[in-house]
Amino acid sequence: MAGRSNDYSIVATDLTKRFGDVTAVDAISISVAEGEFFGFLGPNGAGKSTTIKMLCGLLRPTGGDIRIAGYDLRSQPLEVKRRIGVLLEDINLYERLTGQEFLVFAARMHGLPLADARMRSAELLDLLELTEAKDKLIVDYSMGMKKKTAFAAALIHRPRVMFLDEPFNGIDPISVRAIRNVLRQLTEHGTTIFFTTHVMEVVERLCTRVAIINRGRIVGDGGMAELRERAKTGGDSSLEDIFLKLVEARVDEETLSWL
Amino acid sequence: MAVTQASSYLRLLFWLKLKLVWRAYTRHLSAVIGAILAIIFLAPVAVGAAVGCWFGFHLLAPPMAEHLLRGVLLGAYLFWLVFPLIGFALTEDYDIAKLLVYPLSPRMIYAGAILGSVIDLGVLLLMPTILVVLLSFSTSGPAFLVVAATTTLFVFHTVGLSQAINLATAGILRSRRGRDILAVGIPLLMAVFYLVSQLLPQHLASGARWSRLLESRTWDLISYLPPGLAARAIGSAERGEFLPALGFALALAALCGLTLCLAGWLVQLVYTGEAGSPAARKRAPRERAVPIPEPTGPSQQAAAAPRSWSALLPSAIAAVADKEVKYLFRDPFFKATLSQTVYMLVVVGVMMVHSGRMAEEGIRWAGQGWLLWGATGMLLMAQSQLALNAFGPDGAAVATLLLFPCPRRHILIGKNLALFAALSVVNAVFVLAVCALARELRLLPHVLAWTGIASVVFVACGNIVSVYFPVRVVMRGWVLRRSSSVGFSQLAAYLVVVLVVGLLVLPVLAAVVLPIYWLGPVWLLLTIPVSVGYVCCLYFVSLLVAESALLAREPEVVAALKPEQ
Repeated sequence: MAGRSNDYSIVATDLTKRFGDVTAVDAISISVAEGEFFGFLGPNGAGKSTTIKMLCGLLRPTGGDIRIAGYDLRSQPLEVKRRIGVLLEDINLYERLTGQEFLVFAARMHGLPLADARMRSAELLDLLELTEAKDKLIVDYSMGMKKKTAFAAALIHRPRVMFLDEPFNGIDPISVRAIRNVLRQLTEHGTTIFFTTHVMEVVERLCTRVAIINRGRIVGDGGMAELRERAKTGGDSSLEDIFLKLVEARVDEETLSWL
Repeated sequence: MAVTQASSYLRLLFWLKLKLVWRAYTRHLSAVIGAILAIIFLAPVAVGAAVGCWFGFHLLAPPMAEHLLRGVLLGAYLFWLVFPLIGFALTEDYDIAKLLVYPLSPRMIYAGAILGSVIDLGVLLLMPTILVVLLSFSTSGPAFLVVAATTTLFVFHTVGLSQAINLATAGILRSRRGRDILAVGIPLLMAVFYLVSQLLPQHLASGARWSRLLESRTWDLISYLPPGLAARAIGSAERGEFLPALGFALALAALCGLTLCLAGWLVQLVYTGEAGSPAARKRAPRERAVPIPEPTGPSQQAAAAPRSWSALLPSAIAAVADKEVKYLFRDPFFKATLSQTVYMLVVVGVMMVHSGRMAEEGIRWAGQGWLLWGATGMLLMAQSQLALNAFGPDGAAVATLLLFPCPRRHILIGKNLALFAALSVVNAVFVLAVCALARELRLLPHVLAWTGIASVVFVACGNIVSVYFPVRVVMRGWVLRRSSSVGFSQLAAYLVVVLVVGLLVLPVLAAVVLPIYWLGPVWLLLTIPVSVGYVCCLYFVSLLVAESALLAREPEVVAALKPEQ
């Protein structure tokens, strides 16, 4: 699966992360093709966010190799960062800047001229319904507004690869639709999207391929048909059924005694 | 039934307070050590104050002993009222908003807060003095009863008022604006307190002024406040005048009840509707044309845009410098450091005034001529926390910063430019003030040159230190704290770093001071350019080292600055 780096935007080989005695990610290998909308699923604590942080260079892997957009992350980190946009689950923005100031800052840090930065930030603020709040400090934003701002900053330089960790969490349905449309269009233009969420319907609707991680290991990878075959859940089973089967979740009808 | 439930809630609230205070002191090793140090330093102060009061109550003649009691109780009263602000950092975890989701009335939460305040440091520290009051004025059995009842009422009233202020202002204190104001306001208040504590004893040095104060209408009016009423009741009981003692005690009790009712009403008023949600805005869903931006690079529209001054710098340097300047104005970290500068200026000012007076009286001491240089050296050291921890104020946002693909030296240069510019302005004002206070305005250019060039040494060293020892800084209330995960080895290494920076800055000091005092001013024409060359070399070396180190250590820097779990 791994190794054919020419056709793939994301190639991770034997990626491992250990925190002391705990192995959070256990020698996983992932390859995501150019323009693919890749869903990365797993229960809480399975290693999704750790994997994303390693893929974008924010966490040093204990072992394994990573190539993004054809560049080796270890030896050419800046070339990789030039081509990626990242939205992490724990949003880390400069909260003492206004939304507009932050987007202009992000665009200029990617080398865009000031006028371009202003134009793109204005369009993104408008698209994400943040124009009214553009002059408020981010520290005064709601969680959803912060997430939309972080998404806009990840998109503003039009990256070739986007890593999105729970992008729709806490965002209103209007902005969810706008973001979904943007993501669809991006993939049509060849951008690769690496995407995690707990909402199975979103994955079924958007993703062209899905990998499921459990306790640091990949337990399923492929399109819906391949996953059904792997999970042996039958022809009309939903992604939720497949997911529950692959992560060996307890699905009994047991409930609380005092209810 | 209702009483049982209320006592059950109160027990639960007390348990919560106990747990949170205990965890605040024991969560990390540094917190444990901080608590031990606080006990080592504050317990003797509390006991010392109590012992001082004991001697005062027993040695002073009768009217003066009661005046002292009034003063002591007034001091305790003011301390307790201000303590919620000072102690806010400690009690911040006890967030009342978190309790509002449970079936507890704000009045019940208020009662719980009063009960919980028994274990607050401020209350515990004043207990030895209260005990001394009880022991000193209980001259008979009935007097003991009156004194005990009065001191209990006084403590209950004061703690109740203090907690009401705490709860009613908690929302403001926790807001961004509240924190910003506290970050600047409290150090300035401390500067004023220092100034008053230096000037008031001189003003009241003569006995006549004391007598005038004690006989004044103001002192008499102050005596009708709760601490005054308590002191009068205690004083009357000591003299065996039980009727007026009971009168004053009853007045205090009435005031106490009134205060509690009003405070309960205020807390209820402040928190009623806390959970109420604002009306949802109705927005019609819009079908939008989705703009997909061009890949990174200038567009034709951008090419036609007018060029600004920042166009002279590489885009990333300008962006970082711009962001840093905005942060310097908006972030409490810089404001708190700046407030320390004002505090330092007040202390130096008082020292220089004293020194000037001593000089006029013909008293000379070795450090007199060096105050100016010492003060500016201390200023630079105080500011070193900004330079030596350049990524500290970024906090978790450093993850965002290091995701940008620009050369790492651009990030460092942008930060350095903004900091140097800001410090230059602050230092110029400080230097002008200390030169004027020292009546040494002729040395203004020399001291300015010294602080300006030395700042570059701090900034240069800061580049390397910031990459190897990034420390998260957070504002807890008005207190600026380093992350509690900072270990002792790191702190020791940091002290070594400060020492090394101090050594590296010595040649600059020598380049300015030696020609002024020993070699002759003409030597400045040589020594100043040489020291400028020295710091430039230092800066470029630091930039080279820090850039490659930052690129290699990015995950470690991100990990060091992420919020504690």
